[in-house]
Amino acid sequence: MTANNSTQFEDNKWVKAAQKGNQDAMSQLYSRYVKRLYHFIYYKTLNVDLAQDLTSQVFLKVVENLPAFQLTQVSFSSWLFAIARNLVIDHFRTAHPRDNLEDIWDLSTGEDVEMDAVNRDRYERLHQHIQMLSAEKRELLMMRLWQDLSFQEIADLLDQSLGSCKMAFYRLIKQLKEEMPALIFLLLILKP
Amino acid sequence: MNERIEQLLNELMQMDPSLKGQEASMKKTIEQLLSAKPESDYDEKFAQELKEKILAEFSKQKKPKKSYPHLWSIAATLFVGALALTIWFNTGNKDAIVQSTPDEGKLNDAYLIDGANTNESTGERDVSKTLPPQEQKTEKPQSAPKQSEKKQEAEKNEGGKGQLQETVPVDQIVQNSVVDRRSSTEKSKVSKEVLDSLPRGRDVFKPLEIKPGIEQDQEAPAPLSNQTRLMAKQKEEADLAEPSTRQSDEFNTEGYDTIRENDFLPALSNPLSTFSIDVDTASYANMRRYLSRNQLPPKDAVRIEELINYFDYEYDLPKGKVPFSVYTEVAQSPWNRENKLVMIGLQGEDIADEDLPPSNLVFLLDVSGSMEDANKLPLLKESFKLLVRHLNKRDRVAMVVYAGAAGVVLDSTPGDRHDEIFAALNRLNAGGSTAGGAGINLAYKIARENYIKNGNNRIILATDGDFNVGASSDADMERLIEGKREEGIFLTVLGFGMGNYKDSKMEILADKGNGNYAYIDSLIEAKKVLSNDLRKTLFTIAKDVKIQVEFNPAEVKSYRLIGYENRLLKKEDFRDDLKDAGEIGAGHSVTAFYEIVPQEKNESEDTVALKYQTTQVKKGARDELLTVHIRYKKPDGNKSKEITQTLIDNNRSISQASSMMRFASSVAEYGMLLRDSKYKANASYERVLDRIRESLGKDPHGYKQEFLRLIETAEILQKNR
Repeated sequence: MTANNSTQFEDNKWVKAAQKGNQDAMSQLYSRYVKRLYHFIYYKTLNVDLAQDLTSQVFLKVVENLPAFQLTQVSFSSWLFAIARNLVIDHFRTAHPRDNLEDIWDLSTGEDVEMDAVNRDRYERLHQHIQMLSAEKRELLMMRLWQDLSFQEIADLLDQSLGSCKMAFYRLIKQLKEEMPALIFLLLILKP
Repeated sequence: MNERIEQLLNELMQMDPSLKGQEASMKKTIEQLLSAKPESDYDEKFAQELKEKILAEFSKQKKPKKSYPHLWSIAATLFVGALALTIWFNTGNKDAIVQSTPDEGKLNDAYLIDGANTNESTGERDVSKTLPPQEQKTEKPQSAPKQSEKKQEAEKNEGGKGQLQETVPVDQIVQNSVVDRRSSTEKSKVSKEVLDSLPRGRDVFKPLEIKPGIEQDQEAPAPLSNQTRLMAKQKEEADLAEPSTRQSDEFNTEGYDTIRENDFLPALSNPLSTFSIDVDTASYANMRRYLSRNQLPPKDAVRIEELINYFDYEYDLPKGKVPFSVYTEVAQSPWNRENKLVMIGLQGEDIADEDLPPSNLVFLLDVSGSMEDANKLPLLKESFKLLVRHLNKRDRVAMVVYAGAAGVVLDSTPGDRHDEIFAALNRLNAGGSTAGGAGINLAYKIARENYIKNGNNRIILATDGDFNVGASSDADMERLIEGKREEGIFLTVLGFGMGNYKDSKMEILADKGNGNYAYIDSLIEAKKVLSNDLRKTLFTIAKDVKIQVEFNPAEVKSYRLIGYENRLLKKEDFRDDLKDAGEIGAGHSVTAFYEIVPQEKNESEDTVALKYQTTQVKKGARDELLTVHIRYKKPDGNKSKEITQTLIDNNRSISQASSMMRFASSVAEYGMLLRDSKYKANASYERVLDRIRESLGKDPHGYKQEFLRLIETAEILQKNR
């Protein structure tokens, strides 16, 4: 799934065709990205309905702004995820100031999956821990581990160099490795 | 999965070779983090539907684009040509064209900003004579951001950090694009949206401030001191070991504050009154059963709060995030003109049928020999069928019976297979002794196995109350239930045709097991509990709801809580999140009354005569009668939240009070008459009947009409004594 040159080349081909009004090309672009985009938004919101809503909003924006989109400036995927990211931020900042993000994360403990008690417990503790990370770190973790974005895509999104992104991720994993056993232990004790 | 871990691990190892030897622990960390990835419920159907929508949108939009660049280039060419001709005519000198290139440069800017679609500018052909191609190319990226920056500055209202601007110049794209040119207002709205959304910071995860206001999170729950635990336990055990004391005229209050139950308490020395809500209605149905046999119910069968809470009141529905609204009202006491009556009502939010969470129900049915009577097992079967009709395919039902032994008679089955469930109900036969403990354990096990996250996981116990845990004691039973409470499984207890002694036992079960308790004396009552009020019965919207009322001694001399005798809490319990309290269901309302002796205005004692300390009354809040504090937890939460409301006396008589208050106070008065309360003062059946008749309000199911007949019966029986 790494956005190597060939996928980007493919993307560019489809984008150019779509800009000329080719519907198949648009359909291709959609199919290539809808799942990744949905997951990207879902991990940020952890709310199925909201993720679906924002996903459709992103694609509507893509359709509207595609004619003006300039491939020379930025890759299609980066553009797409940037729109998504901003829509999510927008959602929490303006449209629904009362849906605070902590709540959305709380909601997530349900939603779906039937887990056995042990797994659910571990899952919830990990989430609590992840929630304690700073926003930047959490986003990085989410994008690289869960969303499976390439470092290049992350770097584009966060407006950082490729190297610093890699480094930040490496440091984060190292930090988590050190902290996690202790933190989980602590959470175990604190939990009544 | 493993491949991915290896890939990530390799990446990290390449970055820092010194990590060699720590591969195993690094791998474990990555594994754990990957396993924390939430299930995302990606819905193919949604994706397909969206695709169609997007493509439809796409085909609507694509048409006009192609022609625009040409039109604009032609216009620009004409304009340039006209300008050149004008200059040429004015000066009569062809060299002037060269001098005027700066102007044409600007013109080109404008053209490019407005008209450029892709790199291959169609304008090149037309302007190439007047402008060198290189200049044109370099011109474009420089001028575009300038233009957009201006607009952006004008449009953005918060000082965004703007770090995305360079990497992701959507704003430029939008601003420069032909998109803006299209007449649709929708388009310009969208571009503004994109613009607004762009320069915001990246702290997506930063929690927003929780709104300041009445709601406040509690800090970590105060640790329960050993002594408190011991006292609570002793009290509970005493309650269980001696049900007779619980049932006595004065309810057992040992282990609580120095409150004599149901007595008036001076507000100055006992300013706080704390209790747990009680949404049970069993006492009402039980009372009705007695009266319909032309007998007065025993005093101890009458729990006034359960009579009051049997009815719906038209409280405002909650707004905002708090799952219930609080209603307070004060008026002259109907049975004692000297006193005032304060009504405190909670109204739980209702959930629309389509928004109800899926249910995982386990019916735990008593089929022991004592259930053979017509008003037990046969009624039970019919009652449960009423409930099953409301279930759909998202729900699950399992059935456990217990008699001599406990067993599963229906494995967890989708709720829409009504025939299967009905057949299992029809097969039930009564016989044998009662092994309730094994039944409870089995029911919780099945509920756990079919646990629905965010769903309504509930055991519905139906019994005549002849319920025991083998050789174990009542206290063991309570402990068993209390242990299960932690698992997020709620309990509904339905009583069938039993006597009063077991009634208290079952109430304890429901009380300790995060549940509610209703008594089914007839199919009509079954219809109320399991059909009309099903959402109240089955769907909890807040748990451990506690009420603490602080009285203002400047206004209140003494007060008395009516009913809730076995729901009293110590004042410290209010903020103790480990202390269990009552649950409130969807659309449920809970009402409590305090009778208040007002403070004599002239000679209010401002101090208590104690030897070692004085209690001073604050003068600031003279008008306030009391403040209600309510604590609750979300159905799946561990931390309680608090809401607060203050009540000011407006000196109303009972006839000026709301119809809700007139009706509810009549129910309370009737309960006091039935219990022959020593505080009934001038209470009378006649006045109760009068007030109820003129405050009936909405009564869609005829419950209030039925109540009138019951009161009339009780009045006759009382007079004939």
